[in-house]
Amino acid sequence: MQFFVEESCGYCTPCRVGTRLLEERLGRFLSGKGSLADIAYLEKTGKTVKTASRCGLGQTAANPVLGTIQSFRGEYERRVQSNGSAFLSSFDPKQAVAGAAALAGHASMHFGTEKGPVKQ
Amino acid sequence: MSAKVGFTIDGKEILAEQGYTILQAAALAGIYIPHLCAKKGLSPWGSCRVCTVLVNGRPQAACTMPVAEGMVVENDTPELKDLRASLVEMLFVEGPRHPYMFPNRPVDASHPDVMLDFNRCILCARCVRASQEQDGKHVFQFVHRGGHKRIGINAAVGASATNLQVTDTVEACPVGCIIPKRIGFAVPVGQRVYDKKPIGSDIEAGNAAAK
Repeated sequence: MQFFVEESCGYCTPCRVGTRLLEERLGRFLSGKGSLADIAYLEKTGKTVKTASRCGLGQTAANPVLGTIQSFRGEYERRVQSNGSAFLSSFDPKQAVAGAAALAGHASMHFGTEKGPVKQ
Repeated sequence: MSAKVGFTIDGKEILAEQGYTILQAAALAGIYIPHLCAKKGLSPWGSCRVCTVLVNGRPQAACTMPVAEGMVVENDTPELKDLRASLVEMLFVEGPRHPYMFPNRPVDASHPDVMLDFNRCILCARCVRASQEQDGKHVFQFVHRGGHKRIGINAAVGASATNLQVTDTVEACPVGCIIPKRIGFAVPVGQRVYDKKPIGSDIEAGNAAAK
């Protein structure tokens, strides 16, 4: 997908934005943080990019994603989080509060520092 | 005198002059096709893809596709509505704003009369076309490409051209990316055109001139 993100001229919306969205979601599976909802999202976004793009680059850009989901759905599902948790593993709360913690000037009370939770 | 062309949109038979785009013909016939980058008086562009319709079963942008005899156009279907919603959603999450967070693109205030807020820009090129075709100037142009594409403004030209029709280009912008300096909210929120009626209602009421 990096190829299509790089090659997109940016003229039409589906190719300019859609290829980046596909790249980002695909990255979740590569880092083992995907969820079943992400497969559905990839299919929906891929279809939009394929249908609505202005030229051949965008119309074929989603093919690798759609094709692999169609043929190797099992591989995607194998990379979906296996702990059965309802929480999205793509969301890292520790990282999400890092910016706020830096602004506040002290570590999060909940997550603490690298060494462990802050003792109260 | 140009010949008339007969075709159908969602089963409704329409006669339009040859050379019209589907979007223009539909507007004259009182059918609203959602669009962002198309504007009356400007050349067809076809970058937002929100006006995508099915022409004989194939997806095409209604704003760039000329009408042809016997064409079967599908406009108001659940699939196309989904597609359009998905495209508009893409415009919202685009670029540095993805995943969506507080607007974080820089603004460009180099021009003496207008300011650009890139957080709103959808790269529809309306300002580029309005500047070139209506004013005969080249005040706006695209810079960079792909995901880094953005609108550039020629501040030097603007400063020397005292008759820059600021209001025209501001009018041309569908998202309020181009903000006139020293004028804020000339029309208050709540009294703007589409605060009072839904977009496209004037077309459906049959008041629209050819776009």
